[in-house]
Amino acid sequence: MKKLLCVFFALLFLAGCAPKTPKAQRDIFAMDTLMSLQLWGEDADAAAEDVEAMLHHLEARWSVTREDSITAGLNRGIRPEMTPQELALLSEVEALYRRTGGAFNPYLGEVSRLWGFYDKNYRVPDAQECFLAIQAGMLDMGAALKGYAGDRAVEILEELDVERAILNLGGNIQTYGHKPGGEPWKIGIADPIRGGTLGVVAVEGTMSIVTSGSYQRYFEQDGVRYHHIMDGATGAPADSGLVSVTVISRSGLTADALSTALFVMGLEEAAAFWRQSEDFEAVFVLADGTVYATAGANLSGCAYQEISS
Amino acid sequence: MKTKYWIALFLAIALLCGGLTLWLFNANQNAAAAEVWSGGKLVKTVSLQEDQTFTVTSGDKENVITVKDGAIAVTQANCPDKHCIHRGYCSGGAQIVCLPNKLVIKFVGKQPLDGVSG
Repeated sequence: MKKLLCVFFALLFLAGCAPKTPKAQRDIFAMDTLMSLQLWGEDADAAAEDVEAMLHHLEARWSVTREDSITAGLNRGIRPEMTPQELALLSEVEALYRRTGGAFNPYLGEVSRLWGFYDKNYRVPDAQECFLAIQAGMLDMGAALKGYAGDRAVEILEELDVERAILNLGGNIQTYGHKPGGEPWKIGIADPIRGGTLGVVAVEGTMSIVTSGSYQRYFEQDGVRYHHIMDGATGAPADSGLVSVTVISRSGLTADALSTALFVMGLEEAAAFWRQSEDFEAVFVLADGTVYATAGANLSGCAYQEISS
Repeated sequence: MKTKYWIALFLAIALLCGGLTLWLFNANQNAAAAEVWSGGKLVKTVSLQEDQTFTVTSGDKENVITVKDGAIAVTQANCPDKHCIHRGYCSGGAQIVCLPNKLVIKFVGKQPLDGVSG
């Protein structure tokens, strides 16, 4: 009996005070941003390694500035060699362009370059220059690639023994798996006006939370702020009255592309778009600080108006 | 009789384990500090309760960091875009990043969030 109880207590200790699940933590500078990975599970280290390799590979393949990338090839008018997976990404991006009526526009590379967002030599071009830059139709995966990287990371984690993970891909948050105890992930939304955290969204399981905001990249000239989210209709920074849009979706690519699209659309059009969609929720912040959230966004920690279906 | 004794011991140990877990978990959230990382290496951990100003240098890259009234900010930098300075004083939330200088300020403790999207 005593022996049995000893074994029992040993097990109890192992269960309650057992060494924690192995954890890997890694910071990577890729895609012109910082990526922070936190993973828990037996294969945490191997998974971090694979995710890092995937991020560098995606960057090399889709960079606008690298001469040998798919993007550079397409923009020079040649047909680069692509894997079926890369072709699929390109057609998914095209589908999102169509679905959003051009509000998400991956063909505004020349516009971003014109305004100086590529080389940081910022300037305000005139309307004719903007028009011509739109016509150039230059591919730039910038508004979709980090989100897509989240989806690819999830595929890697599913293959390996990873229990859960939080990936911060340059401000895009990708959750994976469940927290011990089954609590939802609590993801803050950056306050676009005052800095710090605006509110918190609670999400279950594997999810992508992506924010597009005019506060993220911008320059100022003669007291006017010019941000990096370009409107394909004007070839200039989108002026829709929104300062930030957060999209929550199972698909990272969708979340990334739609956060840009809804920002360009403005609140009313974005709300209408949400009502006819089923694959995302969203949080909007207006220039005066008013917050709107769709019915399923699970936002807490701040006052907001609910957008109902 | 023996059985009762074992049950009591079992409960005591279970309580101890639970209590210890809760205590460790909460203690972890009390410290309001920030870690300063440069080029992927942790160079300094600062308490946000102690006002101070210091410079982080990496090659020819320089960021001046100031801690004041429980918040931290990059106050001077020789990077081209100054995004790090634009963030202003922060006491938590998303990490402050100076991409050109590979400088990251991360908040530790007092972080009930799993991540910040922005």
